[in-house]
Amino acid sequence: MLKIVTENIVKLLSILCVITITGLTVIVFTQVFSRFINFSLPGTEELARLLVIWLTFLGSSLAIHEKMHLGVRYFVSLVSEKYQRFIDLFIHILMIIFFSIISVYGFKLTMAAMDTTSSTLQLPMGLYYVVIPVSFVFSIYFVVIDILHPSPGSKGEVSL
Amino acid sequence: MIITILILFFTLLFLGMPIAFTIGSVSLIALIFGDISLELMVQRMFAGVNNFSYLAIPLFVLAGNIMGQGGLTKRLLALADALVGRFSGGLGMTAVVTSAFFGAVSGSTVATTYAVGSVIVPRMKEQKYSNSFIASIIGPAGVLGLIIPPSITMVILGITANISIGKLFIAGFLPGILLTTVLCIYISIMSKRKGFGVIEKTTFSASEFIKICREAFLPLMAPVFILGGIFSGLVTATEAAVIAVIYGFILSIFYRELSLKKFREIMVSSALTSAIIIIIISFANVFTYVLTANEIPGKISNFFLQFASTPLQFLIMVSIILFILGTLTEVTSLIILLSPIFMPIAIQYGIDPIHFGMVLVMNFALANITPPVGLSLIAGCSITDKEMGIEKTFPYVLHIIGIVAFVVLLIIFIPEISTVIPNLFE
Repeated sequence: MLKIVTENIVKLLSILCVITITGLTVIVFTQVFSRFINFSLPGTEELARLLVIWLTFLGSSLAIHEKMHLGVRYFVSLVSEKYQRFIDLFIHILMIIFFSIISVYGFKLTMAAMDTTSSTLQLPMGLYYVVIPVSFVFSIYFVVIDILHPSPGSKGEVSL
Repeated sequence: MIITILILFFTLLFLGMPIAFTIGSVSLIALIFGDISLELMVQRMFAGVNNFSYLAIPLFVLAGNIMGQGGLTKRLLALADALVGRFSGGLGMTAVVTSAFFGAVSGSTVATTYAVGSVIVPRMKEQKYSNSFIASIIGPAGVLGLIIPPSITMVILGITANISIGKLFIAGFLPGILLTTVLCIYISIMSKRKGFGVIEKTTFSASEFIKICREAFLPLMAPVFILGGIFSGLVTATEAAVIAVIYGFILSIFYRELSLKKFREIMVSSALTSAIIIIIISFANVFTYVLTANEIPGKISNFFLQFASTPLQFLIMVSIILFILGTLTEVTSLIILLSPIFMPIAIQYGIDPIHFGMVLVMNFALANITPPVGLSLIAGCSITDKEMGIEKTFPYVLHIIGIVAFVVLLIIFIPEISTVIPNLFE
């Protein structure tokens, strides 16, 4: 049951990732192209910023599931496995508390910003903020799943 | 205050909390103790991301990933092989030169290590290179992806330290060529002494060589388009990134190397790679607030002004600090957290921002290969042998670190290496 829920959340987030990154490519390409034919599309910059914000927060929660977040595992790997599990649990609980606080205040901010609209596109600003509480709720879910069913990570494969 | 923040920060980091959330939770705790409304946390997180320039990050990541898997690597490798393969240690040098070529189409170190390593490591093993030597050169060769433009590190540095990204790109050329050359010389000497790669030397007839050049022509046009576009002022860095995405996409269709499923995977992994970088920037924006509220940047600045009386002393102190931090932490967060603090101080010392930017970039490259926490080195090990620990790379990796440190010193002492080409474009 839990597994099906997880699979569906992962699928949803992956699709949103594909949509946002494709959207960004298309928008910037349109911008370059339209400049060369001397035609400007209003609001593209704002839409692009919206997509970057969505990409960042949603991607960050999926990255928790994929264990892609950058971190320093070296020192933890020096102690025995029993202690490792204990340390991981401690860190996971801290993360859940941290994410909960962000979710709550992110939700408050979203509600407060529903009445104001963005400058060009006239979208409610809440639409920009709402991705923060939503993503961190997903993040909490993924951390809980990781506590219940720890899986080996692929840490250290992403860097610049 | 600063001591408490530092202790908390390193404790959480070393206990394995991801760096983004370490920065975030330390900031949150500081806000709580400073009795500041926590809504500010979310506002600053949001403001940190709400910036048009950050578009360049996902686009360059995507471009690099498409190029890495779209069949460009083997064509670039064939060219590198034709150029340096005939000398002693030829295949080792080929690995470095391919990484340099690949660095000119991709902006990431680990992507470079994986793309080049997956093709060349099996061949190096056949030619009797020891695993320890392979891992020591294939990981560090990947940092050429960071030094040679385009470079995602430079994009982040440009944004956070407020330097022209285009100029940083141009500045990276000479240091990149310099490091490539020095690494090749080292590999050649070491291979001769240890008897690596003596089985066969690749030789080419003239007609074969022309064919290889023709094959590598389209991949090599990528940097021409990207950098040519930026340098000529026709497009911005962000727009150049989108051109790179489209060009890489067309090439991989042309080479028939990307299935639709593979392409979808690349998009998701590029989105995630970008997200984990930008989320660090997002939390760092809260952290910067905490630091500024406690007047810490000013204290850091005073510290330098007190102990470093000349620009040169300042650069060396910065390098030593980054070297120490670089062995213990991950590089991207160092750029994001420290460059906005260091840059204004460098300007006070009268250092050219491009020169300082390049010194930072070279130090970040070095931080990527210093154990125990050096992600390029770890990538080099994992691609050589899944079970290989970084301690197995000794002693060769120490030579490489020495070589890169030597190049860092050259960049510090001779500003012209960084500034001469950007100044041509003034």
